[in-house]
Amino acid sequence: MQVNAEGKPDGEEKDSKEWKGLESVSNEVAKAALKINNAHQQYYKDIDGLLEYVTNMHQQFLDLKEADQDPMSNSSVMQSLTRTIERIKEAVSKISSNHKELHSSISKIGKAIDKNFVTDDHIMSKEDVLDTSKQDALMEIICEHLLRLGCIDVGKTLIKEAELKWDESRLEPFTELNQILRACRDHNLDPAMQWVKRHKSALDARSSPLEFMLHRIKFISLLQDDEHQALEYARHFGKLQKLMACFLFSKNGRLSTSPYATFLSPNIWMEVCDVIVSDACAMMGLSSESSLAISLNAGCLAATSLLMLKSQLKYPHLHDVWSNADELPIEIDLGSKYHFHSAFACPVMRSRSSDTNPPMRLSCGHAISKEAVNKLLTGSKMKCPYCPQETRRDEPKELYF
Amino acid sequence: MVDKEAARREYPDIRALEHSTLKVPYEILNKKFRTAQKAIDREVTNVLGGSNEILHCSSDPRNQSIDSVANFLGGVVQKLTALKRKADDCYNQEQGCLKNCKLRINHLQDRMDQLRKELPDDDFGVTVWQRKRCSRFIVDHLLRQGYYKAAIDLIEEADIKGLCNVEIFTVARKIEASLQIKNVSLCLNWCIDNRSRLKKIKSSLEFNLRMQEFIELIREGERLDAVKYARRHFSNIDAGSRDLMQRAMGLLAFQIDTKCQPYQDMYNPHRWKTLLQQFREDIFSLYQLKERSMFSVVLQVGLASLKTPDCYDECKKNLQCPICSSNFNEIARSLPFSHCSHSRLVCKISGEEMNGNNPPMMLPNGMVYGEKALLKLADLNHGIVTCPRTNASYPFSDLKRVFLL
Repeated sequence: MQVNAEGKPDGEEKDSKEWKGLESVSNEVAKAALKINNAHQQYYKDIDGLLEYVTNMHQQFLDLKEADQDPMSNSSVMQSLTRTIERIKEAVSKISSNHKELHSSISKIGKAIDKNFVTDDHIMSKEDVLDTSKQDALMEIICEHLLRLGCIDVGKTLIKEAELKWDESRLEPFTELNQILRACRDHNLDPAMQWVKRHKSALDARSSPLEFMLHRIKFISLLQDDEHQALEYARHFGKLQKLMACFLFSKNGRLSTSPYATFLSPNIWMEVCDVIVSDACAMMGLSSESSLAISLNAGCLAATSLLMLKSQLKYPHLHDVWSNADELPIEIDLGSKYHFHSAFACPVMRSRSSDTNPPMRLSCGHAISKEAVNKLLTGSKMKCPYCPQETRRDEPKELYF
Repeated sequence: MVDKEAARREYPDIRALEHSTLKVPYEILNKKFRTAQKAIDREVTNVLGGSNEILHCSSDPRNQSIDSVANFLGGVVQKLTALKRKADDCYNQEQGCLKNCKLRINHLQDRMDQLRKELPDDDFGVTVWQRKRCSRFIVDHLLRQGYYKAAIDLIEEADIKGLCNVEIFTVARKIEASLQIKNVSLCLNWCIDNRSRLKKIKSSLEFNLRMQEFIELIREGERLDAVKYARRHFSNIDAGSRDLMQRAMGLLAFQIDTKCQPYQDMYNPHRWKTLLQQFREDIFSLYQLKERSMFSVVLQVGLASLKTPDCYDECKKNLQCPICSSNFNEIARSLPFSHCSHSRLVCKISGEEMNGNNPPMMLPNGMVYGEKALLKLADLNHGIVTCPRTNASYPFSDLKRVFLL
């Protein structure tokens, strides 16, 4: 183990800030489960033992009664009766208290959860932007999302339950899509193949990999059954040339240890379904990914950043901003996947560009906002804040991203 | 800006978002435990009672008889058997709850493993997990809205059984349905069942339900029954409710169509809606469900972090941007914009980011696109590029680089 400057094992400082909350809760749950199991087992022994004992006593009395003897005068029988009663009392009290003892292990779970997971979501104000007037729009959004997922039946159920005003024509474009997806889930490629044929030109315009992916799946599954058929198939579709090396591995299931093993995983079906959805929706004029999924995932990223900042007490009054409908106080970098619009921030003025304050390109190529240009102009020239080049008053060109 | 590495290690997303996921099954376990303890104690008392009878019988010389002792012994055997069945059932239920806790923990552990391995967002496992999370949020929201069939169907399709809090909502739904037909008994039973915890949160639900029954009795003209009801149920109320009590008693003197306040309000059937609302708040409180769904919170935060002024500019709409589409556009209108302190540019032709790998190039008319897309256009057209927005054409050599800091 390497040691850093402070004598601590290297990597420990990194780990010390690492969140171990889930392990914490998991431990408490495991401990509680163990205790309950043991208590349960113990209880079985106790109750069965007791039952047996009392049943024997009962039987004894019944036998004595049969034999027409009077047990009451038999002192040893009476003594054992008294003992039995004692034992019953002891045992059932123990059963009750054993169960009670489990409470502390159980409540430890709750405490661990509260300690390690964020309990308040006060990153937002009390006033809900999504009030009842917006619920219909929300249900529509959810419905569209469901249709894209291939859950048209759930969508129909929701339309009925929420009494959305959707007629059949709106559902129609998704019906075929859902049939294709359903078939793919049953590993039947035919509807997908037919669909691809019909829309070949549109798909090619998008440079969609769909056709190749479908052929690849077919090829791989043929390969596992019948090599000759696979070869015939590959001859038909020239693009499958890159997969010819598969034949080297096709015997005796060595494909699973070859570099082509990824094509055997069940994920390929889901991947091809995703591409089908993406292409079909793009051709319908919709976004290629579910808007709801994008928004929710962005929200998860953003909420995490916001809560972390809040916990560091950088923005304790974060929830105030929601009622002002202005701008979030901090930047949340979601990554380029979530950048759909250009945003220019002037490096000089540190403010966002707008129609009245557009970005300008100086003669050196650097871009700053119009306000910054006006500020830096001295007479008929200005010097770029980032390089020695000078720009004349009329040179800066307005940029349109 | 947030240091992403530190953020991921110290604040994985499950820490911020999954409190309810684990707390709810814990509360269910807690409740089952308490119910179990009461049930076991009840059976134990029965057994002890039976054994005492034997003692009395055997020590009382006048009543000694083999028959009665034998009978009592048989009785104790029966009671012990009942205790066995009951306690067994209780233990099994508790273990079932813990199993569900474990199931959810395992699901969250998958996410922790993904985060620790720092897998990219388009890794298949990550995509599947995130999709399940979306579905979980949607199901929770649908359950809260009362769309139970859709929610249950979605659970089935999305393969998230055991990860959603269906039981509570099933219970809530039955009680809400009964309140809607103006029947308080299911709700009252629930209140009695949960009395101690409701007391802890200082709930007035039970009192309000009784008050409503009282009012309904008067409404039906059964004033005498109403008084009897009041005697039975309102005699041990605390000082805080005394004013309400007096007002209620006053109600006896007024007709249903009275215009006199506050009695007119008391006769208003709108009170049933308030009761329903109060019940919802209380049951959510008991199971530590937040009043707003995670779906709602996360969606709003997400929309705000995606929202740009361009989304509301007709000529700048992007098909891929969620906010630019009509439904989202409306919803996001009153949310704050995302904050921008670092430039990020998107090429309008390809949708790709314009950065070092794809530098922004300015056409002589000020339009800016990514170099990659422009090269493609130039390739197809003998070195001439045509701006898709203005239709102006320029040779590629006339383009100038734009430098951002």
